Amino acid sequence: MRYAFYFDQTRCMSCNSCSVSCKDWNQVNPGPVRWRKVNTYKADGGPIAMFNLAMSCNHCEEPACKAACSQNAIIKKDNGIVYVDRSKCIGLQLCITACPFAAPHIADDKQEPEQKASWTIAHPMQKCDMCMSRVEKGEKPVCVASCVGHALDFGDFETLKSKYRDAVQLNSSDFPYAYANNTTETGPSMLIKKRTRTVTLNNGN
Amino acid sequence: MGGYAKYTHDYSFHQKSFFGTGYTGYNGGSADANTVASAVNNIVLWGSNALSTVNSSAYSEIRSVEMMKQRGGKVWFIGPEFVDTGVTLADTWYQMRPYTDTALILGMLHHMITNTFDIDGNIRNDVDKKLQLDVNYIDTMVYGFFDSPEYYVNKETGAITFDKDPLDGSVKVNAVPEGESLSAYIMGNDDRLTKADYTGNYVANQFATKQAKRNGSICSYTAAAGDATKYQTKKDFLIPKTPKWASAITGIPEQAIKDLAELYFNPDNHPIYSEWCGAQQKQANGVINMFALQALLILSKTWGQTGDGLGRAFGGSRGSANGTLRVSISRPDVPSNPTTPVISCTQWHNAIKFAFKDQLAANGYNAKYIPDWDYANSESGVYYEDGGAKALYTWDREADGKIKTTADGYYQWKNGEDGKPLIAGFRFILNSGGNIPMNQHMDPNDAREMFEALDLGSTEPDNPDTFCMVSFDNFLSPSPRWSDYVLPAATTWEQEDIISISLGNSLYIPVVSNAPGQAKSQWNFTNDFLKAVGNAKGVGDELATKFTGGVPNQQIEDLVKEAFGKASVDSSSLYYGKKWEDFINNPYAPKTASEYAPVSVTKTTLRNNLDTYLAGDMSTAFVPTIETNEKAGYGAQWLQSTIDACPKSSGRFHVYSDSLVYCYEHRFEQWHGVLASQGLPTGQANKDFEGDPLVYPIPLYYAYEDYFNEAYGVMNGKNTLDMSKGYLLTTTHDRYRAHSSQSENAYLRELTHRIKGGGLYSGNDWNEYGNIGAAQEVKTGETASLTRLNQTIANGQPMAGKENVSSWSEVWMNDQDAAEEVIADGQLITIGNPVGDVRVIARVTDRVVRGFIGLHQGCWYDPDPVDGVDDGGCANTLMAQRPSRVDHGNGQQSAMVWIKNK
Repeated sequence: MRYAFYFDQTRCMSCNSCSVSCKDWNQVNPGPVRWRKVNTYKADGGPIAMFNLAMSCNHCEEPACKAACSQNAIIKKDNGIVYVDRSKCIGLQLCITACPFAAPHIADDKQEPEQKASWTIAHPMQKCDMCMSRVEKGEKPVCVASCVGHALDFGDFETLKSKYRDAVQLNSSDFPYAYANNTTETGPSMLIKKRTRTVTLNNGN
Repeated sequence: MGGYAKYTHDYSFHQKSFFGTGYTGYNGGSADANTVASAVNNIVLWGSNALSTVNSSAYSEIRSVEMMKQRGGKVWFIGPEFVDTGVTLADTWYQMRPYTDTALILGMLHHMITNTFDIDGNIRNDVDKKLQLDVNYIDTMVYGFFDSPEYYVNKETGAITFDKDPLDGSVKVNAVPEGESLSAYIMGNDDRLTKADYTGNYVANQFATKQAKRNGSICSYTAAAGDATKYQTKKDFLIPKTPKWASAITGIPEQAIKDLAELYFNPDNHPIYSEWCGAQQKQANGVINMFALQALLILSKTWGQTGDGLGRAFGGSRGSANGTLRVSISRPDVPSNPTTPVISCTQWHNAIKFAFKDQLAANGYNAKYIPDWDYANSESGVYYEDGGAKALYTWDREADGKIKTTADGYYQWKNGEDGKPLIAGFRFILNSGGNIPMNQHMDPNDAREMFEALDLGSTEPDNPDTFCMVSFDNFLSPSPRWSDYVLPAATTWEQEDIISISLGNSLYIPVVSNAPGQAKSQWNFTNDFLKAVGNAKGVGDELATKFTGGVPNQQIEDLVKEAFGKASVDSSSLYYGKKWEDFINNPYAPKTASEYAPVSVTKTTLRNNLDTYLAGDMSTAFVPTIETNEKAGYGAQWLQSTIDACPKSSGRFHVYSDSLVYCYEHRFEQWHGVLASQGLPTGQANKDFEGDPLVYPIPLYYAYEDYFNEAYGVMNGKNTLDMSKGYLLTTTHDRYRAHSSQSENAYLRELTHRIKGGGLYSGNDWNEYGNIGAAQEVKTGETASLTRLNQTIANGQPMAGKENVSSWSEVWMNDQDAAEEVIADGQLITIGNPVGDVRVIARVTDRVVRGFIGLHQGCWYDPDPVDGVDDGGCANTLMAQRPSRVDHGNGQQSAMVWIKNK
């Protein structure tokens, strides 16, 4: 079992239902930290910004964040989910620079006003945990459940691959804009149906 | 309570609802997802952002377009802003300036006319017939594309006669005067259609006996001021509306305009589904956009077969499963409302001004106009009449509530003690869960000045000499802020309700958590309110009991429980054997299947008959069976003589509507007895600043420059403007403020707000915006003032220490324009016009056209107390308080703005 996300770039309408429901479900207060982000890029010869990408932590096979953390605060479960034990984080922020996708986040005092008793610092790293508590109950992560355009899906990596045969694993040549920090090969558990269609302006005139 | 004022249409779809399809008779309806997936070949999105604004059908729309494209179908998006729906679905983006849809359509029609007729008026043989007008169809089915004589038509047989009524049930159809048809206007001074013979089919042959050529004259619309007219619209009368002309106005290349024309007119491209959008009709001349679009669809025969149509979003269809609970509330004793004038919803402010003109003036209200139609004193010097507010007198009624009429047939008004007509206007507003009084109406600055100049009615809410507004809401939006009383409402999850989900079934919502403090549900508020009114009137709980269906304090839950109780013992019901607790845990009623089911393209009987007719020799009459409006629209209470003189429906589609003009000129007439008694004109004056008509019978292009010159006081010399430096502004609905109550939602706010110099999603004024919490609790005997909603901004800048918090709404600005203006992405700027100013953050993007700024709607008005600039970014702060042409609806997608500070 290797849980993964699937994203259909042709169906995303950048509505942010995923990112807002994520913050709501996971009780991330309003503010700059958002575990799942939606952005629109100009790429692949398109004349304007029109390539949407909704992405969170990709729960990589070889998580660069986990390798970088000297405190063993980042754990990869047998089912593939990568999560952070926030009580172990001491704020070295090595994960932040290591992750190609800028998935680990640090909140500020406004967004995270209270330090929990088990934490050693005010704002330990936080990130997507694939809605572990929902997955354990047999439910899909909240982003997937809330996706208006049915662009997101979730399940076993191999099962998703056979279900969506035209999807590819997230990679830096097809999706350079997904790689915010570096292009380290980490084996992301993220399959994408790539958008190939661009728009013409004024019917090509 | 004695009745309420009635209104027509709403702030979302006023112009669309007003125009409907009755004036043209256009009969191409909405498509559903199955039709799009399996039958439609092209979708043209006229600015539509349906994926964002119609949540419930978004997936059906995405999925069905996906399937359409697998068949080679194509999506065309037209508009100034490439909205999320365009990004997701479109194959081509027509980069059109706002408010120019009609110019685009006229350019398309010009291309088709010149494809069809050579300069001598002969039908061209050098152009593929598929790329020409079907002239025989137009003659047979369309009234007003070409000039035509006055005639009589028997609608049973289609037979046409002239000169005298054949007394066989025929109706007299007015002439389309020489040079006044739609084609005459389009061709301007190009005289080819004045050389084109009326021939080829029954109607043409009949007309030819009275009028040999298709058009009797080149365009004969004129300006009273001649060449000295200040209106670009009138200067264009004689200009041929070529694709080149349309290109200069719309910004769309000439060839692209021709391509779009040929898309629509070539039958091979059909079915074509056109999706209109809210913004297209919510402009100064939005009715005309709807008229022009329907004219295009009529002329291109985009009707009469599956998938050829016009609609908004398209979704799946669902039905209730057998055995679903049915609950109805019978309230036979609720008193019916007495007859009152039905006015435009945009006229509520005028109705207040009408009632309290003297008080407002005495209290120093020196706004641009009191009331707005008093244009002699107005800033702009011209106004599109009153939209019904002038009808708000106190009426003299019989005992049964029926209004008496005068000997002349007008409604009889009452006079006051001073012998003058008793003005009713609006004196009390119960604003239940709405933000229209301050925020959603045009020009909140004017509304604020008005509300602040009205005497507070707080001690005597039922005194008709003082205005009183009560807001019942769970958001302290700008409208409650300027109310006399604010009563707390329960949220949707704190009150039971039966709601209807678009494309779904009705659903009973139980209380999830109890409302805090004194907050009440709508049901309980109304019930308690009526008890209080009843006590004041000495009738006890009688009114409240009538409201709840004759059972005191009856709740919705009681009715649902009763229905469930019966269903649970009915073996044919879904709920047979179930417990109430099971139902509450899962009240969703099962749906019938909404699986994909392909549909085949079929034609309507009329279309089949037409196609058969057109394939024949066309020498006999065809019966087109189209019915269009005669006496239509709101304000249709008229004198009998006016009703008798109504222009008649020709039985064909109308792209020339004399009815549209006639209805405009007579609207509200029967309510205007006071005016008649004073020797003043009744109805609505169809006159612009120069004495020319405001409303024409054809969809002519009203130049947006003219609107701004009128609205900003240039026409009457009160102002000067440099339009070369102005930007055109509209207010798209984005996902994050699909409703005006959502401006306070911090999770949605941060998606559209930014800190000064910050990137996307950098806004973070959570807990510091609209925060009317414990810190501002007002104890008995104390007063407090809430100077503004945003407590992190002062003097147009972040307060000290709030630099990473204070945030403003984004505006979308073209990247090349921004480079020329030296405005960076994330920069705080002020944009404004003679109506008002807003501070906003520039979002520099290639997804809007040049010369355009997009300020998405729904932000809450929040003016700086010192400089008056709206830091809230409410788009309406920039909108002139002028109703839209023709219908007196809201034209809140029309503003020109200048960058005032950067």
